[in-house]
Parts: sequence; structure tokens; C-alpha cells
Amino acid sequence: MPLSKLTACAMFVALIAVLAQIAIPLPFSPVPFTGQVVGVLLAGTLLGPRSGLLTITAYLLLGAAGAPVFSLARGGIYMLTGPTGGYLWGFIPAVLITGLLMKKFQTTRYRYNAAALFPAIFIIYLSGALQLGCLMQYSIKQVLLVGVLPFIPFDIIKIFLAAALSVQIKKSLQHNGLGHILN
Amino acid sequence: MELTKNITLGVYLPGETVIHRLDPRTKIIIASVLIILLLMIKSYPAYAVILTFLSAVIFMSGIPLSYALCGLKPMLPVLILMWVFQLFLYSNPDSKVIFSFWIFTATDSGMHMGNLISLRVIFLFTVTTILTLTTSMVSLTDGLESLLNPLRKFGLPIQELVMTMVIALRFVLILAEELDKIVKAQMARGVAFDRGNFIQKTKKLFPVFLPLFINAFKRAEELIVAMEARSYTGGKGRTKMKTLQMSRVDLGAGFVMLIFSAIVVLLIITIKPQI
Repeated sequence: MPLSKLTACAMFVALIAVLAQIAIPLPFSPVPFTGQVVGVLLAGTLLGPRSGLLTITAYLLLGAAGAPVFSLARGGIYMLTGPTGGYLWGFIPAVLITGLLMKKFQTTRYRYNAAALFPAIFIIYLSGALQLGCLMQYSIKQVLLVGVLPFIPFDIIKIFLAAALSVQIKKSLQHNGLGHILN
Repeated sequence: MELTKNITLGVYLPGETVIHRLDPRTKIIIASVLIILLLMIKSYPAYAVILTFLSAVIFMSGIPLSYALCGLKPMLPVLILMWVFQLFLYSNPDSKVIFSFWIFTATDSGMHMGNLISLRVIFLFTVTTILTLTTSMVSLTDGLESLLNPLRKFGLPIQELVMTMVIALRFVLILAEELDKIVKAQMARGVAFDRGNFIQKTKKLFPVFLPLFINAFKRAEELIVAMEARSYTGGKGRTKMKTLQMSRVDLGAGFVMLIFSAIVVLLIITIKPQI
């Protein structure tokens, strides 16, 4: 892996960690709206499958080692092994599938970006719900009620935000003569 | 919009105790074994044994107890919520009812389930806290690299992974500062982050995220030039300034851990689970 790519990955890990600290409180839920997933989705669209995978693995390992890089400055292995850990594990296949889809589309249009992100969110939910259900011994209905349905509207907003950002970031980087970092 | 300000990286208490002097690899392995044991435990006596062991470790490492437990405070609301959830939702056929009102019924099996899960969360948290409090971030990543090294045979880029982690650690705080500056700059230009409904608030994130990303990549470009100028190539043939070495202390720790795990496994097998 060339040095430029490695540095871009490292920067992306730091970016996801910082985005995860932006929180908009929601009136009805103890879980706030955070930028963590936006960062992960962008890693998929901007970096491609291989580098995206490296980025997310490094992010999760850093968090597991205790650095407070997860949302709301949390960290530690418990975040991965605990009931909500599945949502974090899901980032790995999510980034992989987004990267592969973007590679297949060969375009940076907004519509295609958004289309590549929907399966990613679906996988994150699937893996999150599985771990939540297994560890807390909930039924499928309870899992849907606690861990999936309340968050769907927000994640759809995140998809559109990430897709718009992805298009704009690529444009701006090219404009600033930095386009080679991502390739 | 709120920013979490208390990002303190690598909360590490330097010291010269036995626990501090252990090789990071030994500590990572012991912590992993403890975590696996904790995930299997389903009875109170086994938790008592773990409690004794962890108390001894905390005492030996000279960490003030308040330090080891202060991280639990922000998790407390979630813990209590989880406990109440278990109390009312979990029940098996032969459980006794403690009390009930309206559609809620609290059972003793639900209470035990809640207790055990809360204990598990607290202990898992304490194990990882002790690990990070007694090991510096650098030796932790070094230990991780050395433990993951065999995976390189399968073509996994372990060296790159660890390098990515180390660079990222350096930049988290810098980018957090930058984010703060961008938010203030946009507020000075008249962006009211706290006004509007949810959709409007989300839209206002756009002029924050975009400059953050562009600035981050500018910094990455500078770093690439600096590293190339110093002929960094990474990967094969790179030597270390400090090499990790196992000592007699590690052997002793491994032995103690072996006996302890045997006791816990014995307890798990012999004692009937509470739930």
C-alpha cells in the first residue's frame, strides 16, 4: 500500500473519531444523533473497499484499545462486546460493500452515491440487531422496537448527507489539487 | 449541536509496579481471557471470585479506586435502564412474581438476569480500564502489532494497520481543535446551529463537515511529503527503537492467570446457573 493511501486512511480514522463527537440531542431517545455513521459511510464512498476496510479496522481496534474514539468519547473493548457492539462490527461489511459498489458504478454522481449507501445501512442494522438480540435475549419484535425502527428516519438523513458530502468533497479536493490522495 | 469536549487520549497513570512492568502482550492476553471468562459466568459466587482477583490487581497496580471506577459514571443511566428492562421483560416459566401493576410484572428471574448483566458490564469495563490505565498507548499498539504479526502470513497488512492507528491517534486532538475553530468561524458568519427543526439543524452540519474534510486532507498531504522526505517506506525491514521482551514477571503472571482461570472454569461447571 503506498504511503499516500496509508496517510489518507489514518486521517480518515481521526475524522471518523472527531465526527463521532458531534451530537445533536434527540427529544425522545437517550441515544443522540451523531456523525459517526456519516464518517463511516464516507470512508466507503471516498476510499474504496481495500483502504476503507483498513480504516474501519484501525478505528475499531483503536476504540477497543481504550481510546475514546467512539460516539460521545467512549472507548474500550466493552463497546464491541456489549449489547450495542453489533452496530460497530457492522461497519466492516458496510464499508466493504459500499466500496465495491462505488467501484462498480465508476461514477461520482449523487444518485449513485446514495444508492451505494443504502445496503451499507441495512447491514449495520442487521449486525447490530443480531448482537443486541442475542446478548439481551430479546425477541425479534423487541429488537425491532428498541434497536431498529426508531433510528431509521435519522439514518436515511445521514445517507443523504453523506452522499452530498461525498460528491462535494471529491469536487473540492480536485479543485485544490489534492485529488491524488484518494486514488 | 453539542461537541464532546472531554476527549482525553490514553488516560495512562505511569508507575513502577509489577502490573506496570508486565509486557503489554501479557496484559492484552490476560485481559482477553478475563473478558471471555466474564462472558461465560452466570452465577454470583463466580463473580465474587472475579471481584477478589480484580481488587487484588487494582491494589497491586496502585491505581486509586476512584480512577478505576470514575469512567462508569456516564454509563450509569444506561445501566439502570437495562436493569429495569430485564426486571420487567425477562421471565421464565418457573419464576416467582415479586410485584406487578398494570401490564408490568417483575419476576425474580428477571431481577437475577438484570443483576448478572449489570455485574458483567461493570466488570468488563473495569478490566479494560485497568489495562489502559497501566499501559501507555504506544506500548499497547506495539503489543497489538506483535500479537497480530502471525496474521501477516495470510496477507493481512498488520504493519500498515498499526501505523494507521498511531498516525490517527496523533491527529484526533488536532482535528477536534480544528472542528471547534470551524464551528466558531461559521457562527461568526451567522450560522445559528441551535435554531430550527431537526432537518434544518442537520443541513447546517454541511458547512462544518466539508471544510473539516478538506483541511484534514491538506494536513495529510503535508504529512506525506514530510514522511517521503525522510524516506519512510514502512513494512519489511523496519526496526524498532524499543523491542518488547518477556521477563520472569510475565511467566509468573501467566502462571497465576492459568490457576485463576482453572478455578473460574471449575466454578462455571459446578455451580448451577442463577437463570
